[in-house]
Amino acid sequence: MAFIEVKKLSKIYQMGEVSIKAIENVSFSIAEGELVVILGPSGAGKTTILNILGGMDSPTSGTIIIDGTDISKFNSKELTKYRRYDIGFVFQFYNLVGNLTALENVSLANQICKNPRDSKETLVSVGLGDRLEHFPAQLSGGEQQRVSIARALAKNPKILLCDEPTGALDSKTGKMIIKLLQDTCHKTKTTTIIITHNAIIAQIADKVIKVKNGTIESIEKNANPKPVEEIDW
Amino acid sequence: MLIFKNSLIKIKKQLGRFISLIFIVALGAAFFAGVRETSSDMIKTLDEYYDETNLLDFRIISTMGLTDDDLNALKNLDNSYLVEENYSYETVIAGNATKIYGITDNINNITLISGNMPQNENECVVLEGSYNIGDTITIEDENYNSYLKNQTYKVVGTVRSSMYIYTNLGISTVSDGKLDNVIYILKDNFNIEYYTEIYLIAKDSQSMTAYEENYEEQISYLRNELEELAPIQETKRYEQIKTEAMEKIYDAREELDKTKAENETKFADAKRELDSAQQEINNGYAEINAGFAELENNRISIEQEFATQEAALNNALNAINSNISALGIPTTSISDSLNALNTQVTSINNLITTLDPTSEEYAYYNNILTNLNTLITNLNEINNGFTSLNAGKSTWNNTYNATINTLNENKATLDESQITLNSSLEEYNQNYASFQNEINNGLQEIADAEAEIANLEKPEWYLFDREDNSGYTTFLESATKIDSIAAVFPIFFIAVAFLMCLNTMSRMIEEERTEIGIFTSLGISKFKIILSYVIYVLTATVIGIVIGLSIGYTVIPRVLYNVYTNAFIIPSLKTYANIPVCITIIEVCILTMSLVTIYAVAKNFKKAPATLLRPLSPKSGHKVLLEKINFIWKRISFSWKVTIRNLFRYKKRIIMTLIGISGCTALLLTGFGIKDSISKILDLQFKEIQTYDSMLILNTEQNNENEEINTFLKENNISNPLYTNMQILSFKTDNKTIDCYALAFANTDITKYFNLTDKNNNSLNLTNDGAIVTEKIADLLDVSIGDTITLHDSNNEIYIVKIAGISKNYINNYIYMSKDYYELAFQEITYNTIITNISDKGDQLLNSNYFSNIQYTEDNITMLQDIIDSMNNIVFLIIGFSSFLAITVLYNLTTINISERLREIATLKVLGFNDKEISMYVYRETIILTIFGIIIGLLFGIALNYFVLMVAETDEIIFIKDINYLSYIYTLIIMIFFTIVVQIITSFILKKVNMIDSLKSVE
Repeated sequence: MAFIEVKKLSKIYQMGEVSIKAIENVSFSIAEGELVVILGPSGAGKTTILNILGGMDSPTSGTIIIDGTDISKFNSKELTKYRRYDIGFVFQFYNLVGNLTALENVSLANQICKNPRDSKETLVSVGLGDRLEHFPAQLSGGEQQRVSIARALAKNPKILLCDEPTGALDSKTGKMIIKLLQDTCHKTKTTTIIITHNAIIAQIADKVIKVKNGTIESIEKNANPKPVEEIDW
Repeated sequence: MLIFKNSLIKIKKQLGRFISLIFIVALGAAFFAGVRETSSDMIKTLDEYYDETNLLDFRIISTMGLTDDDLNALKNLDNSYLVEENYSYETVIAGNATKIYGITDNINNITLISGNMPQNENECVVLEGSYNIGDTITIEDENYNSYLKNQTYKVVGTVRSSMYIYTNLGISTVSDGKLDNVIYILKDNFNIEYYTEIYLIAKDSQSMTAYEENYEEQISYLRNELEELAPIQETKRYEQIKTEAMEKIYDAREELDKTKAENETKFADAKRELDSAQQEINNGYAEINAGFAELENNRISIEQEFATQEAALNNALNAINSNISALGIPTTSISDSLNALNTQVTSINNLITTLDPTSEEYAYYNNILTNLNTLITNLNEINNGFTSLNAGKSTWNNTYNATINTLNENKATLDESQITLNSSLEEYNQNYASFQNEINNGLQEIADAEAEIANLEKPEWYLFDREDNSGYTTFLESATKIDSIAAVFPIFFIAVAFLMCLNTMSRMIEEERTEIGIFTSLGISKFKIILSYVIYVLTATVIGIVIGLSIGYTVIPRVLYNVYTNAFIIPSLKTYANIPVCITIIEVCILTMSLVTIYAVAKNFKKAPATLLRPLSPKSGHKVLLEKINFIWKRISFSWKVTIRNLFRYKKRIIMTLIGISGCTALLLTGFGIKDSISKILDLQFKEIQTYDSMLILNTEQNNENEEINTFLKENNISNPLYTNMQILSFKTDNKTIDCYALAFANTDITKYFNLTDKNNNSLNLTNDGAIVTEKIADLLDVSIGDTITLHDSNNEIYIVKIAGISKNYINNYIYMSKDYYELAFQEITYNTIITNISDKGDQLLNSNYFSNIQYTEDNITMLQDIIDSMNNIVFLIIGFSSFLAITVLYNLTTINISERLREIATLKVLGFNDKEISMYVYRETIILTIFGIIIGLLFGIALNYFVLMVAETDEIIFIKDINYLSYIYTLIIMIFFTIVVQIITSFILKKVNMIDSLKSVE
């Protein structure tokens, strides 16, 4: 049994008389510690997959088994718990709390976990040891995203979910972030799922799941993921 | 078109915000319009009432009454519109000072409430609330008929009068000085030869609104004329009275002289008659006496004659008897002698016959016989003489007796006549004496009248206007009071509403920054963009104004007016939509709301559209001051640290929230505070300052303590009666006449019934150096210990009183004096009241005839309590509106707080914060702000309460400005309750926050 087992996942949005199938019959599996990229153009349904994986939404049908537990039928309380203890989330727009310092932003997530990592160490590990007391507005985009990653990591999650982590960044900074994610994944053995429309990022993944029109187009295992330095933006 | 659609969409999208905007505007407008309108509605309602009932503008009374000439002179004034004469008379009925008026036709018309108007001379109507229909009123004054034709009147109806709109009817010249009842009868029932008063209405005064300055100006023309006319008519009246009096005197004197002349002749005639009668009687007596004398004379001469005759007879007899005796015949009596002689004759005759006639013997015997016969003849003659003498005697005796009888009878008749005459004489003497007396009295009266005329004072006119009617002025004061409260509260509401709107709009525009950017970059004119927001705001504003004004104009004035209908007898309120105020409110609301919106939108136009399209760069967070105090900061839990940091991040919101919450708290506290202080003064006044239970009004005023009454009281277990002189006096401030009670006591120690203390709670004692006056008097007249004040009684008599102490007091104004000081400053004391501590036994005491009335403190308290209870309406109004405001403000602020931090909250949700943690994340700020807001609000509330109560104080009342601790608690509970309610509402909003929002790009 894989660490993440998604089977025949469908999500249908009922908009009055019309029903829109966001995703249909999506199945895949992810092993523990794997770095996976879910790739697809806008409107392909990758955000829906992300929402369901992240415990922010429930599927219409199908199952998602995470580490042996089926979360597809979770109620909102159970989902909150799932998000709290199992998921680390990295947002496209960082979503830091503006009036908390980098350290405090990390601590904010930290305090609700059972077994958190030390906030300071985590920030040091993402290379922001000298930016602890800075407020988000005083940080560059890349630095903010690193705080965001640190915040996700500090929770010591089972899964690190990244939603277009480089979407709001220039290529150089984007590369640095991707490298950080890759390194972290390898170092900490945290299962990492990156959702993006950027095919280049897919090169560094252990597995690439391509989504198109709400269905899985392909699942490719990448035997030799490229180091970030080698990919070309 | 597009703009309107856009606005419509905005409304739909932000319905909660839109509704809260409506609410805020509605509350502000309602309160502002309502409270502002109340006083002008009140004044207009009363003005209409005054005009309907033709309330007088002026009332003239004169010390010597008024005449038709006065009436005509007044009618001829250029500025008089209506003039009417009337009569009035004040008297005490069943211990109540009662004023009786004639029913007027044109001025001061009374309004029938129930029953009928009087049709007959023995019927009357009364002001509602005193007598019942069917009651009989009997005038107790013995001299009633110098004023009224009838003594008893039947109550046939109850009425209202615009002259008496205040339950406190004013002062009276009789009884304790407080007018208790007013009665109206037909004018014809008065027996007074002059008019006691004349009422006037000035030209065009009714087209002015009462109380307003142009009314004062309008009546001033007539006032000037009246002031000019007064001395003329006074002189006329004086001359008239003097002439009339002089004429009367002359007539009286003439009459007297005539009477004197007439009567004196009559008396003289009578006297003469009496004298001649006496003369007659005297003559009678003289005649009788002469009769008696004559009779006596006759008797003497006759008796003498009888004696002479008898003597002659006896002599003859004796002579014969000696002859007879010589014959040997006894002479014991004539008849015996005769018999013996006759026997001899017979025997001689017999002898003779036998004898020769020629014989000697014969001759002898014949000789003897002849002798004998001569003897017999002589004896017979003597005997006849005796017989006729005796017959004469007897006749005489009869005559004599008859004459005596006649004379005596005549005398008796005369005696009777004398007696009759004597009584006539006596009668005459009496009559004459009384006639003399009468004449003297008449002369004295004339002399007195002359003296009086010599001392006759010039009559004086007193001119009264509406301001001298305590009901009229008190009402204005009450209405003004509402106005001054009105000035405070609505401004508060409007300010809060304004702030809330500003807050809401800036938030909304911040949220829609990108939209504005898009529109601008699409080349839509700034004007149109602004317009779309202005339309949104104005839609809310207009709906709010409509709701607000309709509530404000209808509900609030009625609620407030009801308070006054307890103390005033007035028609029900007519609400007028005051167009200028309406327009002002609409203008102010629309203008401020639009300006706020334009300002908030226009702020964004300073930036290039491109900047607008980019997300607003987040405000840099920074550390707060508290963090520098490490040892405190260290101890604060992380979540509280976050809260504190957040708090200081949105300074504008903090200020708004603090103002909103503290404002509502202050309003609530003031509401409760007003209630507290009003109910507190009752206790203080009647349980701490004036502790007596009752006042017994004496039937007859006493110069000293009356032992009889004291004994009676003792029998009824009433101890320590305090003999008191109570009267109502007035004093004048710049523009008002204010009544006060003056009490003078027989004892200097009155602590049993009065605890008089100064500001510092030192007790004050009565002295003979001056009077103790209550605080308000000192305040109003701006005087202090040692100063003097001038007091007037209802006859305009002036008294100067020196202040020896100023005592704490809450209700009414009092002047306390010792007996000695009273006698120094006023006059000799008479006691009309006894102060005691009884709360029942009224019937027993009233049956005793010592007391005409008993006033129980308890009744006073009950009456005041009624008024206070109705004040609760105001309090509930304030509390209700403040509560609405509080909820709206809290809701508005919290929703804005959430909307500003929607992304943050969504993020926290994604990070796995549960609902409770997220709620707390927001609530912690609200709780801190609410706590601070409440604290500030309570402090502010104390000040506001103080201000409002100070404004609300009347000339008779001082409010306690302390607030009960319970009121703080109530305010706290209400505010906490509202906070909780709003938090519950927001927790639903928070639950609805969609996590997916956190993934969206920053807008």
